Amino acid sequence: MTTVDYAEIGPAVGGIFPDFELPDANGSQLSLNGWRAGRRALVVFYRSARW
Amino acid sequence: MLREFAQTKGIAFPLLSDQGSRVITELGLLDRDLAAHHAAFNVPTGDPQWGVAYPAVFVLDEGGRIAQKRIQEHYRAREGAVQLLEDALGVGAASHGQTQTASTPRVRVSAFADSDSYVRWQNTRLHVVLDIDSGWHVYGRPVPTGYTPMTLVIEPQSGLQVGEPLYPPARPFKIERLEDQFFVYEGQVHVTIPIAINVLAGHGDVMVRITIRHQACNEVECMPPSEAELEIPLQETPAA
Repeated sequence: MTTVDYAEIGPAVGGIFPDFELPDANGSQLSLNGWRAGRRALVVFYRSARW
Repeated sequence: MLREFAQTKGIAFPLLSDQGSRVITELGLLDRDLAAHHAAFNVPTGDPQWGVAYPAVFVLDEGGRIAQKRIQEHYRAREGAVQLLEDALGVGAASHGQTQTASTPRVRVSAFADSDSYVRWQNTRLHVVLDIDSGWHVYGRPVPTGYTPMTLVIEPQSGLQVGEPLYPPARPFKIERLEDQFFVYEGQVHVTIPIAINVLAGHGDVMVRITIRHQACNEVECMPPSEAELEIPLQETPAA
């Protein structure tokens, strides 16, 4: 098992979250910042809708 | 898959699909400890399960800056939605689970959960609220000898994980002729207890039993110590 500091995973607090574009449930491409349009947001990483 | 899931669950926010785990890999969120996590839960790691992200939640401000990062170690553990919205965005819950109540001398006791249903392994909360008659108080700790402090006891049961209760600040209180300082609660007291229900799928509904003990006093007299038991039913959220 690798040792991981969970606080250090992913982009750091205080930095700008990198924009990304991914397909939504209907298959249309959606970009984080395009959708946010200057609003606050929660970006939640979840393992799967299946299990 | 996602469309059906969103429709079944009534999800209005976008659900994105990171095929090939490209974005989570770029962000450094790909779970590299999956096999160890599976071992901790005694389940084998199957091929389709590789490529999942650490359970991470990022709170972004208006400018896209990361205001908070909330990461759980195990992929199963989750913060409940009600708590997440409240803690991360300061959005109060529009609703909570149904309230159970009991009357005790000078104090009405009620309890509810964040929701009437539970998601296995997801953190959620129980709330116990004491409404104390005006001019009366109940004791916190330390308690004067012979008095009963307010205590909450959740009956242990298999799979029920109970965290440290969060009490509101108590008011310092002096009793005439006694040197020591005591602490009392007055008015409305709201105690929050983090819980999680760590059970296998199909476990079914869960009944959480809370016993609340206290003793109400005013400046001149005390009620006898009293006890109320409240039962909070939580329904299992079926798998997607």
